[in-house]
Amino acid sequence: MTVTMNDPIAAHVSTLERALRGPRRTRRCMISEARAGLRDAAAAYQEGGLPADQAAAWAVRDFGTVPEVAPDFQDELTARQGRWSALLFALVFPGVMLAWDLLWSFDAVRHVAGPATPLVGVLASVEDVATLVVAAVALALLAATFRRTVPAHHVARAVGLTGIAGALLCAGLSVAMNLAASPRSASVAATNPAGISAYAGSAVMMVLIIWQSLRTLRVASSVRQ
Amino acid sequence: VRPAAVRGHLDALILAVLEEGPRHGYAVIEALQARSGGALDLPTGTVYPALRRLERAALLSGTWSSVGGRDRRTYTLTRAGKHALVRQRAEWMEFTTVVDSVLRPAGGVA
Repeated sequence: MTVTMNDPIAAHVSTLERALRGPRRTRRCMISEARAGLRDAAAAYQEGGLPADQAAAWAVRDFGTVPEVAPDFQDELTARQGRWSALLFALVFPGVMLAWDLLWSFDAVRHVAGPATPLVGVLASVEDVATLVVAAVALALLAATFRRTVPAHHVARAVGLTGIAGALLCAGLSVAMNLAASPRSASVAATNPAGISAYAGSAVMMVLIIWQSLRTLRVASSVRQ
Repeated sequence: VRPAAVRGHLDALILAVLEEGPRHGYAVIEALQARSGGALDLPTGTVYPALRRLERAALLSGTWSSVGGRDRRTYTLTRAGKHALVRQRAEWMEFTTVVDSVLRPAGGVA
């Protein structure tokens, strides 16, 4: 964005925007609203008889300096980042689990792959429980984003850590299941089109979760600087 | 009134001025200043994140609209916001009653 030095409102808003981290759409929306408010304030001063440049300067003065107001803007962006990530995790973890359950519900897949070994059965149960626990924690953190009294960066940090822990745990259990499975089952899963799609889809989802978690942790660490 | 003293009560003050009807951000600031007789001295830039915070808590709903050729985000008190305002008013009344009863000079002292 090009900012003319003669426009104190544009310069101030631009400086504020550069100081903020968080979801791009929300950040732009908040900045647009602040800019509109500053223009309104300047217009009110002009109606009171001030020249345009002085009216804009006074509106900026009333708004507050960037160090004064940026922490409040950043808190909100952090809260939105935490909320979005928590919602994503609450949907994706059970979604991946349901996709695998759906795959194994097909008789053709079960028939070709053969029966699961007892160890694979245990690991699958552990992964199901872990997935549901992660989803429940994500839902609880999502609910926490509706409470004004809970610090936004605490919730966002917890969401980021939940995502990373859940992704690593589920991915680790999946690898362990493949190692414990019979060679026939593993080769079927790796050569069957449905199996390949499930593996690829799960890998993409886990990478997405870890990327989103790291992004959330980064935003949470930028609060109240 | 110092900004630090207002900060903890800003959410309740915003809910109160939106009780009269929907307003955009600058109109909220004007209403706060008008109703306080100009005594509220806080950076106006703190009001916009406060509006978002109240919206995030579902106490306000916000929508963009074009007013006089300008895009503005207008906020409306939700049902939960009305309940929160009633609750915060009651808490404030109780608080001021208690503090006032302690601060008031003791009567009948020679």
